Amino acid sequence: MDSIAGKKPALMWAVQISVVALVLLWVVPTFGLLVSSFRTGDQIVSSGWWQALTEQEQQLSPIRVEGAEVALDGAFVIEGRLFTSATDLLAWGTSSVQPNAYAPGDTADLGEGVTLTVQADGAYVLTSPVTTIGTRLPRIFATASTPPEFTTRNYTNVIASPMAGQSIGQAFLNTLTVAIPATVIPILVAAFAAYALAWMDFPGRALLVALIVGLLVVPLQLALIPLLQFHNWIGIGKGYLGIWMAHTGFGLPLAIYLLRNYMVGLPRDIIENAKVDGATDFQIFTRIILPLSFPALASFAIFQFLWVWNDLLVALIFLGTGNDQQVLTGNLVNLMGSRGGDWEILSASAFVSIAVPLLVFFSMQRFLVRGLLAGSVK
Amino acid sequence: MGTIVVVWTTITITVLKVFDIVLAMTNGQWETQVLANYMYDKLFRSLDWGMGSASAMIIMALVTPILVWNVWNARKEMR
Amino acid sequence: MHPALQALVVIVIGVGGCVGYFYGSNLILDKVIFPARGADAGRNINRANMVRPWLFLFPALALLCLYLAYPVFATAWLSLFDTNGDGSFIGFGNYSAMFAEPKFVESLKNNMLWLVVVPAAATGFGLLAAQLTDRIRWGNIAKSLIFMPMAISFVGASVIFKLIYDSRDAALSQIGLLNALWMKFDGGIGSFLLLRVLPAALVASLLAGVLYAGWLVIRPLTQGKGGNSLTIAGRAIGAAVALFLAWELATWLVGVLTNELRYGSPQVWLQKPYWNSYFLMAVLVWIQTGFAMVILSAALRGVPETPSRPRSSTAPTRSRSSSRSRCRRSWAPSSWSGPRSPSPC
Repeated sequence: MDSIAGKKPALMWAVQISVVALVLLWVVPTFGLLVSSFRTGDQIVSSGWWQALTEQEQQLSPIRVEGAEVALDGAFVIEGRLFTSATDLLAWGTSSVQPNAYAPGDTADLGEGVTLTVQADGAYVLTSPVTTIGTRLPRIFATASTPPEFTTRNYTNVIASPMAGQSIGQAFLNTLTVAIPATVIPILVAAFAAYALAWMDFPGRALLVALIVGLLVVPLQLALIPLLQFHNWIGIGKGYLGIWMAHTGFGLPLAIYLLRNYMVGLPRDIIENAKVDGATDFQIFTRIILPLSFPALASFAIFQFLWVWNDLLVALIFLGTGNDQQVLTGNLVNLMGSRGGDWEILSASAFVSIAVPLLVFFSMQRFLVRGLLAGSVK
Repeated sequence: MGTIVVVWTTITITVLKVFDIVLAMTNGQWETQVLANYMYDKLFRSLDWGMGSASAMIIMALVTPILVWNVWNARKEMR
Repeated sequence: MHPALQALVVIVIGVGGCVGYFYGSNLILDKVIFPARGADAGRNINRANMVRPWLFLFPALALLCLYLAYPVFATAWLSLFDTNGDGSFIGFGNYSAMFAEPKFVESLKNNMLWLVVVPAAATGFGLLAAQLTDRIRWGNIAKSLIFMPMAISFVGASVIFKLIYDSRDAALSQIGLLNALWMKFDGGIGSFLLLRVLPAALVASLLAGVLYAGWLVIRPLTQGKGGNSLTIAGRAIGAAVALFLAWELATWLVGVLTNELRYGSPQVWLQKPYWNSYFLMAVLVWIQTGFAMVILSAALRGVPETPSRPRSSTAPTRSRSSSRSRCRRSWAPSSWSGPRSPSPC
């Protein structure tokens, strides 16, 4: 199959270009959010992230003239600067109706002998025949071209300083607290069951395996209400204990299925030899099967970790939405609702929440792929 | 060909469960509502557990053909 | 107790408890209940071995029954009660009320759309990606990048795509990628080619492909090679799906060629009825394509994974030579590609 395309250069070029196009299509969305998370709020709102590296033309919010008044040549003068960083003024004005009335270097006549001059670098001079102390100073509306500005302030804001409820740092810890036990416990319980289903012969084994396969498909929406009632009934209500047990229960079918499939493929002779040598089933399990099954265990662990980290439904239901118990996904959904327009916060929070899964993904990709293949290909 | 069926059915199960996307982006407004989000809405906004359960059973009914297919295949392999 | 501490305690208790339970129960079984000595040694050992699998299985089965099996019935039972009113038993009253609700019917229709489009699109793209990336040298990296969205949560993906679909007032510059691209079209020859001819060609070819696939699915039935009833049912469903897709594509084709396109004004993509579902589906397709690609790529190469090889399973290898070199007798668990895959030796 690969001999046809392997020889013709033109076809190879077509393949290369289409793969590049495909990869771009898949990477660009995430990349856009990443770039946005490093830009300032003003710049995000004024231009698309693909223009992040170019000079930004931006209409600034009005800046009130202020400064120490000095008496000079019989008039009262206030000097100051509009900008603290290097910025090019493109146009300015003194009223919101006409914010671009004057060019840089022009002098505006504000009535009663008061004049205002603003230079291209933002330096302004206000001259008035009478003292301006006690009077309301004019505001300057400026359209300026600012250089691209990148900052990590969004991340520090989002992680360190709590805003409007809960900082994402707390949610991060919560998610970690939920994910780790929910990954470790199912592995243990499932490993034993998988071994029994793989290497022990007993009546009803086939039926149980079929049951596991069936339970793999059951959507977890079905289990929510009865389990919530059950948790309330036994008194643990909404909390970490509940969500750990829930994730263990929901993850077991996949765990048993993956592990059993792997264990069935282990070489029979080793186990037979061990049995002949007099080892009990328990010893065979702990000394032979478990170490040999490590790839499958790792695969499921990563699978389950990602699944629990990215989950929203189980967390919303079994953990509650109190500020001190919210997980990253729930936090993100709330942010989308309450501060949907503040892209600098939203993008930084989103990236904090997907940073760990991406890290796990890229470092352990091999195991994740193995787990998928083992669980799905027939 | 068999692999395509496996991939297709696995993705189908995920599609029936998805509700986060709809919840986060439109919350079912502008005619985008899906069953899983509808169920969540009934359960936790209207607090109507009977209707929520009924919609959950509908989701289960939609999933049942795949369940039967998978179990049947598993039993075939076990023999 | 502080949650982190609680987590640690739970892990220790859980792991210790599991190991303790298994070890202890096995011990009791072998030493106390069915001791392997004395006159009944043989019979006791047999009895112990008969009980043992259930010991191993017990925690898992208990959890499974509680968390997955029992809720199915409990939910079914609960759905027969009127929890909106006084909690009395109303049989199928909930169901009939539900079907009368417009939001529910809308959900059902939308779900049908999702169920047909998303797997088709994800599998299609996955197949395309698998075929293409297997032929080039940097296919490994390409696969990783396409697979990456699977690690992102659905909510994170929603944020990402919300930025793409963002729309601003026409006087401001757009920050959403889709609208920025849209604003570049002005109705001229470029717009005509890109927004009418190209989509029409794509949709027409898709339509032809779907019709052909549907024909392939149905053909064995017309030739009389039925197979059992399950296969016939499966084929019928497949054909119905293909027909539905073809109908949708046909209406699209007509729309693409005749629709009035509002150039120059930014669209609020997520509020356009019917089309907004597709924009939502795009998020799920974006995520699931990687999954489809990985599985289909492995199946296309037909090579079972051996755990002794330290390479990543997405390493691009020439299929013919690798299938020969992977014939090892060590522990090649054919279960990695399923018990039915042909062994390459």
